[in-house]
Amino acid sequence: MRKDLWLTLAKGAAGFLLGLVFWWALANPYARLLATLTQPLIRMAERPSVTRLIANESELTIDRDDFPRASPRPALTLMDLTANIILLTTLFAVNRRPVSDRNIGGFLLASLALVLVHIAAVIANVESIYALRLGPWSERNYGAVARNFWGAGAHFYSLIGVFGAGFALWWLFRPSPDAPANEPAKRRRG
Amino acid sequence: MASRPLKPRILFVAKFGVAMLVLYGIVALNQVNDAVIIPFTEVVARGAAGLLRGVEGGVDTQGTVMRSARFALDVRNGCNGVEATILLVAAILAFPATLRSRLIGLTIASIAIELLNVVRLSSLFWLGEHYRQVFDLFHVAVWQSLIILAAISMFVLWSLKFAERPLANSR
Repeated sequence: MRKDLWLTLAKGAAGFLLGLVFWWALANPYARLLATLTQPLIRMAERPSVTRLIANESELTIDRDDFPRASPRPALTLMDLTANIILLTTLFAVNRRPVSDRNIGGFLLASLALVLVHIAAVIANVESIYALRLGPWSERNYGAVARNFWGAGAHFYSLIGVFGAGFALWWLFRPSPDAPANEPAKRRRG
Repeated sequence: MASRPLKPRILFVAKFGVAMLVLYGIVALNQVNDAVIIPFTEVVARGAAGLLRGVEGGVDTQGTVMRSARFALDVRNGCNGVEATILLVAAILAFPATLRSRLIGLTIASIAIELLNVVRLSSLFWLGEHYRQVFDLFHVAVWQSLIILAAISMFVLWSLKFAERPLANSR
């Protein structure tokens, strides 16, 4: 029992460190990827299509063609929005057979789904900035319902959704505790 | 993906998501925030400052702000442990279990999370005072993840100890 606990803690610590390294080391290229994937989605919903997301290290600068040239551009800190990769990596690391095909496959699928969650989070945050932080421009272009929707959406994600999503994806994609480590076909051959 | 059927998992995640949304809706109300969350956060800040005073003097609180001569920390939503408690409550509500075992799990785990959160705030304040360069890393990534991991660990332990029979039925 005690041995199991120490093993779980050791696996968790290793997964946590691995997740921390992923999150920290890949922050800049991941910001560029998120900018590339999210910008067309935001542009699809706006007329005219004027939003530009510019990855600047681990931040996204939000620019629009119709912003006054001299005004400062709002920016989005991505590190807060993407920290759930650390949680996801740790949770998959403490699964019973962390390097089994099933666990690695589950982790990859969950990570892919997490990218979609991050895209949704960036959209909610950009729209929340548009709806709430640009003074009279916000009031002219966003009604009360839209302002509340985007504001609450971004706040929900930053407060609990960020980690709720990591936990939910682990729960969905983790292998069953009693599942065999390898694919059935491989076992039959052995 | 796994030998366990997918349906109970999807059902759990759907219930968990709805519970999180409802709980968020409650704590986001201005009246609840002003009457419950802010006074509670002040208690948490006082607890963290009290713990720190056991190590070093000169730490005081004013409302939700912890301050010393060298550093100040405003404990806001997201740092008061309520977010981890919401995740835990949502998971326990979404999991098939008896009311009694839910109440036991919620009570013990919520208290444990808040105690851990007091340690987290004390250590963050200490880091802010002495090692400012790593404060952001510990604030955003390390402690935040550890608190949530603690909440998830408690949920998993609870689900194994107190809700074993409903879990077996849900498979």
